[in-house]
Amino acid sequence: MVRPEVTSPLEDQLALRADDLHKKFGAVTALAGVSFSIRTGEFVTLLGPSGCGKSTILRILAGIETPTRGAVAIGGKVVNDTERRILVQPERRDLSMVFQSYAVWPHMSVAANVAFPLRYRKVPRSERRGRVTEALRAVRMEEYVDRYPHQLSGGQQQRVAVARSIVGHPALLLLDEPLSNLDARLREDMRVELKRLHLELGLTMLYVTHDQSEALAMSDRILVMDHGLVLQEGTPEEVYRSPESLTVARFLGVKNIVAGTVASGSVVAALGGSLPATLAEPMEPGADAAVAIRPDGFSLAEEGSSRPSISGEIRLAQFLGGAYEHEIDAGGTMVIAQSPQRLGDRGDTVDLSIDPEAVIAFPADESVT
Amino acid sequence: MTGTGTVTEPEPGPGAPPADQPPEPEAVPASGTLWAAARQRVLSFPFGLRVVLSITVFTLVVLPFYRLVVGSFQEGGPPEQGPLTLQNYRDTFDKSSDIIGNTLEFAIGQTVVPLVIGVLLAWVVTRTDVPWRGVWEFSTIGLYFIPLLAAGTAWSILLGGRNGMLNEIIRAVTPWDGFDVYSMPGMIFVQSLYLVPLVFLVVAASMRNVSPDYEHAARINGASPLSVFFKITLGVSRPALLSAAVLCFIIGLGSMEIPLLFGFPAKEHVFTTDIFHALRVRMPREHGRASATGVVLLAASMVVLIAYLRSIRHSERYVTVSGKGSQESPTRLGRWRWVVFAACCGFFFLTMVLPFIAVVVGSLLPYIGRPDTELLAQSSLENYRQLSDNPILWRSLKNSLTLSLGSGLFVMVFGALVAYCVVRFKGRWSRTIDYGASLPLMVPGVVMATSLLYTYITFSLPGGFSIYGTLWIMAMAYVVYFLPVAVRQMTGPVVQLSADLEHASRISGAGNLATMGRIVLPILRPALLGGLILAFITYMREFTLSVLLFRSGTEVITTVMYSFYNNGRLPFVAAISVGLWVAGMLLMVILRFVLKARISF
Repeated sequence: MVRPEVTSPLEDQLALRADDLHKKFGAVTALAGVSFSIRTGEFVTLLGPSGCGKSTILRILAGIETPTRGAVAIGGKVVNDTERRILVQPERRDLSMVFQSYAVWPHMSVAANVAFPLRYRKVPRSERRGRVTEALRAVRMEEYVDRYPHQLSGGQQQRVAVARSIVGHPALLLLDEPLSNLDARLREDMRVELKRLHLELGLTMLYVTHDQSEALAMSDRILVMDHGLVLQEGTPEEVYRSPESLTVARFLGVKNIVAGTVASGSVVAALGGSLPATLAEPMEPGADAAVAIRPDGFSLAEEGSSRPSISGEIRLAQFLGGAYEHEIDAGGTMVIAQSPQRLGDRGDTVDLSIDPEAVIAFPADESVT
Repeated sequence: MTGTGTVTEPEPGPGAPPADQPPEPEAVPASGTLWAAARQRVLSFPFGLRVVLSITVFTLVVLPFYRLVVGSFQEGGPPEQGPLTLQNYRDTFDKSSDIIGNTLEFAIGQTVVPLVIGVLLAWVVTRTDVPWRGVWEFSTIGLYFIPLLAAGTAWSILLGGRNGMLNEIIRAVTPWDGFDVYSMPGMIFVQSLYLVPLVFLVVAASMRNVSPDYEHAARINGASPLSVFFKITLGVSRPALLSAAVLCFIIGLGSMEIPLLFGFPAKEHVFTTDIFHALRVRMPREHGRASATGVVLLAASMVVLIAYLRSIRHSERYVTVSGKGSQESPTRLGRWRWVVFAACCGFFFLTMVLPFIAVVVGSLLPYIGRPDTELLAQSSLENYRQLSDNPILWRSLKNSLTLSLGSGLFVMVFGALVAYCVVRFKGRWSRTIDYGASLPLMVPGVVMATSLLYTYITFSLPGGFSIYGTLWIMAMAYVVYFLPVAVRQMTGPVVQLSADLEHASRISGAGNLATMGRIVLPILRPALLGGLILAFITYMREFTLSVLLFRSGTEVITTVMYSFYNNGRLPFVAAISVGLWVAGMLLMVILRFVLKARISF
């Protein structure tokens, strides 16, 4: 695995650095100043709704798009700097990319597709065959080496695309929603495969998705984006457990966002009861709050427990296999509660306590939906 | 061109800056940023490609028309570059009052007749339950693959003056004299038959895209089948009808074969034959008059074009809902079904069977005349034997094949690149290139040939190499002639080509040119091949450009046919026609059944 020699121990850690990236398409601002870096060997995910600018970042890093302003360094090499007028073409950047549309060339066999980057990475002809086999074996496609793309399923084409992207041992691997065109079963399998490749080959990966479960499962670090900005950055646990804004909370799958008021200290009045909560920022007692409650924070209140609880009527209970999901009418507000046990039957009124960690209160000026 | 337009820093390697330097990565900033920015832009691939395309379009299309127009106002015409004058136009109009009338009569006649036949055939094939619709479609399109010169020869054998075989038979069996194809009605008749496929292709494509529900809705609201056909079917296809009409009219203004074959004996002269005589027959050559005539033709087609563009201004009105395929619920013709079927059979017989029999029979005879037992007894393969010994024929065949393949390859790749520019680098510049490349569609062939002639007659490369009188100038004319069609042919496939395929290649390390050569063009190969066959057949049957540009040594097959025809060797022409006819049909079958290509313009 040949890496370009690096210039300093500090840079050694950084596979990528993006500084203050701006991008405008006419009057539309796609990126409003995004900076981040990726350490060598790290798996970083850009998570956000469609149109948030995450794919634009990927295209800028790859050199397919040019930023309106900003700088990019890959493996310690500046490839883009608008101030110094540096723009390195895509073919001169030491990276590879997996596209949502696979982009497997239809007129080439699997072997030719995978061998293509080696030609330009100055890999001697004699070594190419071995490298192709190695890459195809990594994605378990070695027996399809002589097939053509139209003879392969979508999932198999995606594997070929992945093999093509790892065959040249790039300093950075970009993945643009690679699983979104696959069906649910295949998506799970491929997710595990990609993570396995990351660990086994020590690849540095930047992954773009709008699916929070993919992001949570695979990443070392997640950057949550919206409207061309990074809203929050952290490990999956950090962004999941302590979202800094309602948008982030909503995006990480918090389905319950209810109106409440700050009572005193870190207790909020909501759902017809008082709930101990985590305040996202200091708030005055009496202030209106938008309260995000994770579905997995609910449990049946224990008899005689001092923990505050709310009561609600179960409207619907569904068995999901690993857990039960309930729709509960709590003081006129519908909430969704997940728990390993069944909380009760349809029509039952139950007392529920909520884990304070799962309740986060935000100032109410962020609109409640 | 890999990596052009970039400012790259030296590869960090052994002896790179020591580790205690600031972690800021090393890079060479561009010196003189303005100059560097300009250089970066000029050397970039999108810029470079468009520069190359612009220069080519300018050289092939814009410059020639400019030279023609300017030259027409100069004394002695374009080659002399004399002082400005209007004398050329005075000459043109003084001597050609009947020519103007003839040209209009011919152009209009051969627009109206194929339009009527073509629309009816398109309707029958796409909209009715007539048996063998596929056969009629295939055989109608097949007419395009027959060189007009070969078809003209066939009709010359059948109905050419008193000696036409069919005329002889008619005179023998009936009290009538037959029909002399050497006349204005004869010219219109033959030309029309072989323009039907063009109309058919344009109109059938449009009719096929229209949901039959429009017709059903009209029927349900009380319209008779006849008024549905006129008010709905034709109404919705109006833009296609108009563009087919304009296409035919401009072909009529600029095509040479039939006016030269039939009009000359009948003394029915049109502008094209007038230019031919001014440039290739009369001595001294009348360049001034030829160029002025060319400009008049150009102006006439521009007037038609502008009228056409004005009339389709509101074409969004005709954006139609495409149905589940119009073949699903065809109009039931009832007892008319077999009448229409018979008419289709008749058309097939008239355009394909009868003329082919004529050229085959004609090619076996020593001369064309009354087909009695005495003449037929003399039939032999003697004509073929004599032709196979003719070195000029072989040379022209070689020239034709070289030109058709070479120009075909060039024009398809060039057309693909223009389409690529329009699709990938949107914007005014690309659109301008597209307009330039599409311009020849609206220019009569004869004008195209004269313009190129005048541009390059005096032009020579360093070393005294002049392209005038070489195969090169003919290749240029061929390229210009087919360029608009090539661009149209390639636009669809390029639109379908996902940009990700190119991005994946760039990211894999291939530069712009390598991506073009290894990814884009290879993926477009099936479309390029289909277009190449269409270009090839168009070039093999091409006559108008060739007859104005060829010299001794650069004859092509059609010009050789014409000189045999001119020397009264009709059986020889018939023999060559048989060969071209069979080759054309073979190509058609390959295109349709081996490549499974859909033929369209």
